[in-house]
Amino acid sequence: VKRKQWPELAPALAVGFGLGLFVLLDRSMGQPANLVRILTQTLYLGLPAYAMVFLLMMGQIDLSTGAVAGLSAALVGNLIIVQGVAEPWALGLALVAASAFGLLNGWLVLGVGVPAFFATLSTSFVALGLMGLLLKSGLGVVNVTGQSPLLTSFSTSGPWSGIPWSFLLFGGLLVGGDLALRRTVLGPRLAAIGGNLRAAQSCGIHITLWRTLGFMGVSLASALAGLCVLGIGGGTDRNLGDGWALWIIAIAVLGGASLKGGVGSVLGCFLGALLIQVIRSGLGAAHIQTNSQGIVVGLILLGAASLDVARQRQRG
Amino acid sequence: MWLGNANVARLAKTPEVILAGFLLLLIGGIYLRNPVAVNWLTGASILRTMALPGLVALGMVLLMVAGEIDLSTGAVISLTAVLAAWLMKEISLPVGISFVVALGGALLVGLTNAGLTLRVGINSLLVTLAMQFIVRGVSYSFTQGVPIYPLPASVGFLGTLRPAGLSVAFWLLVGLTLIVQVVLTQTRWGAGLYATGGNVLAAQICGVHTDRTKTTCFVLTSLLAGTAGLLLMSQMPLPSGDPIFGRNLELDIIVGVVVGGVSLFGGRGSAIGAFLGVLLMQVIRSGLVIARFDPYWQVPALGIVLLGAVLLDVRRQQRTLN
Repeated sequence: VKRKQWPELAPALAVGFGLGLFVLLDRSMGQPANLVRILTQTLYLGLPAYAMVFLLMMGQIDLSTGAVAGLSAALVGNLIIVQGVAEPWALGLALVAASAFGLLNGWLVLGVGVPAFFATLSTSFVALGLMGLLLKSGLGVVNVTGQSPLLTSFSTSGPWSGIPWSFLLFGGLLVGGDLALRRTVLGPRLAAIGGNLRAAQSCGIHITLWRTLGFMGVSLASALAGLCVLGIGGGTDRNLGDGWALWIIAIAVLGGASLKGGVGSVLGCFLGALLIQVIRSGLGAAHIQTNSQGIVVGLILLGAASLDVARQRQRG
Repeated sequence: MWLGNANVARLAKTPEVILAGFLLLLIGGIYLRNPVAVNWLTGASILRTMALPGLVALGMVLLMVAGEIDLSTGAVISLTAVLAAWLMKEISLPVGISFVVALGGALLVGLTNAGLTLRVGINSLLVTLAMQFIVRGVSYSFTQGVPIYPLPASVGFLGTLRPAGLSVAFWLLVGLTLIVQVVLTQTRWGAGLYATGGNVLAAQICGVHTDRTKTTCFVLTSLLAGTAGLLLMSQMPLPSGDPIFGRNLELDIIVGVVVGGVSLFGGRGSAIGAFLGVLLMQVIRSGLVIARFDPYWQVPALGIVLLGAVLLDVRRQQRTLN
């Protein structure tokens, strides 16, 4: 009898350990308001990582997440401030543009046959360049304070104080996604696509369609995360999304998704996002500057990837 | 008849010749938009600027022919410059020794990349992407983000030399390109390298030490990046170790190499192609400025050129497989 595996156990323990450590070092970290803040902040990296879990399960990857987040925020800022487009239209257009971007990634990888790493790395540079063009008129900055009531209320206010609507949406997606992977045919279906392509084909699963949806989902989720950051900060600059791609993959892999495809966990991904957010808050509280934080990101990514290799060997 | 019609037709289809033709077209286009700016002075400046990414690209050719990649090169450029500058300023080590120690740092990065990729078994893209962040993080944390200067005057010696109007780095690049080309095409090691990238299993059966070959390539790439960092420091008007050195240079290097006909799938590529590819990148970058296009188009233009090159590469790969 095969022992039941709990891929979520390791990140859960790590979250507890990390939080405990930081609370011991700095008591203010343990205050309820701070804990709620950390929880709600899991949205920014957690939402793209959530979509990445599905894509990784299907054996594909996307490195353009951060660039798409930055591009979407810049697009909305440009549309509202420079072009004078009404806010709902601007938001709708940005989400459509992000879906189209995901479609482009999907076409390059699935239609043309470019390896996903390279395809999405190239498109991320295209996105970064477009972001620069959109931010040009504001010399690299767009300020939407007071001009985007919809976005601001979506990302900052909610039915309960401290928990915004955006996080409730994320929570709903997490619960729905986790149930869908565990209880419905979606889980085995995605696992088949990533684990054994030929078997999935024989079973009549429309592989290209599902994978394309996966790419579009990641782009949409990244755009949504970027827009939420815009809504909270009231503006955007060229740094929005910088370095996100690595954090997002690290979160998904920490949560039990494999870079080789076939496995993934939504609950694990949420715990991974929580862990990363705890670490980021700790680094911020310790006043470690962004560029030096790269050391920690890189080490965590390498650790998560090594863990993934070890898990693969265990599965045989 | 070596120059028979069939040979000419085959030659005209090699990536190097297509690239050279494209370069000429591009220069013609720039000339039409701004005839005054197309002269020897601009050309020399482009050649001097391409020298540093070009040097790293030579290592990248070897690495990509072997089927691996390195995204940490830009960060290594900043690491060696910062490390050497720090040793000279804070410990007052002589210039030569500082340079050697800094290259030792680059060597260490190369060995780490190789170990994580080959021993642990993580995809080299992910390993070197993570190393890019780690190495640049180290550069920044040892300088607190500000350039280290002043440095001894002798640091700038190599950088200010202008043999034939060009730089030491450029002539080094020309020499190394020829050497790498000969190694790739005329030696047993080169043949083993192509075999490693083309079919690892077959190469191993034929007695090629594929892991050792790849490790050599990782180390050479890092060392070349380190050399580029030291040369860059030496070329600055006020020599300093600045952690921002080499930022996003990975893109120019990889795009150049891929445009130059090196395959993302391994097993294919040449040093001359990489040289021309990196030159093309620089001509596009400078050309956009000279031809009075918006400089904001530089990054998307490079992204689009990369996509185009990748598409061509995928087509070539599919044709080979069929």
